[in-house]
Amino acid sequence: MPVTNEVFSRKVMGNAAAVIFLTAVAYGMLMTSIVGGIVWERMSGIKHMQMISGMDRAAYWIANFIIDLIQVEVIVLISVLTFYLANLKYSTSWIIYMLFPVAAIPLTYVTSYFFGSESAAQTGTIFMNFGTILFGSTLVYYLRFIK
Amino acid sequence: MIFKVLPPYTLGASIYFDASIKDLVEFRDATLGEGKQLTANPWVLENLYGDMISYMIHFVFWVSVLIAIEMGAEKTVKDFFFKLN
Repeated sequence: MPVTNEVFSRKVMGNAAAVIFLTAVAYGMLMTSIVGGIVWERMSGIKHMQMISGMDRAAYWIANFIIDLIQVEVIVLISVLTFYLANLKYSTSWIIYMLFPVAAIPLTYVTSYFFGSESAAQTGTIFMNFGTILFGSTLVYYLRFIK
Repeated sequence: MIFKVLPPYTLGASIYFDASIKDLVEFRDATLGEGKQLTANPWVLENLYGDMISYMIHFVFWVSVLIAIEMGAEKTVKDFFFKLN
């Protein structure tokens, strides 16, 4: 029996909600691992020790950014490939996924200054990312249909 | 629009957009509103320009904030407020 348009649309949106949930968990954890390292280096004095040993601040941040960018982009590539292999037909989202680390990593570096301990930074970061990806986008999506 | 202040929001919104693009186009065509005209063709980059530009702005803005913090802007702001008080 052919599937009606309504049922097909419901299935596609169900898939989207599941993908967004998994994205929120996975990418929240990624940002958490980044902020954890940065805060740990600052709070344990390792960053300060590197600075007094003559390391340039710009070099510190650029090196961190490049390594973090490579790490996150590998995960992004796996996500995008999975979308393709699972035939999810997210034809344009991959561009946003590829650009996400470029915007999110500097934000994570800045927010790392708000926290005084590694665990607080990790908790705050995962809540911010998880909440914004999952609840923010879902809320805005459904509010669009309210007149 | 306010949520665009945080980059992770765009990630979730892009999936919803891709999954519901046909419904969104139909809805926008059938109703009166201020929203820009959308096209159901997934390869039209105009649907994505806003998100791509917002990510670029995020990068420039947060790197500038990081530079400001490293140059001691935090201390300057603190000193300024202490002087005011």
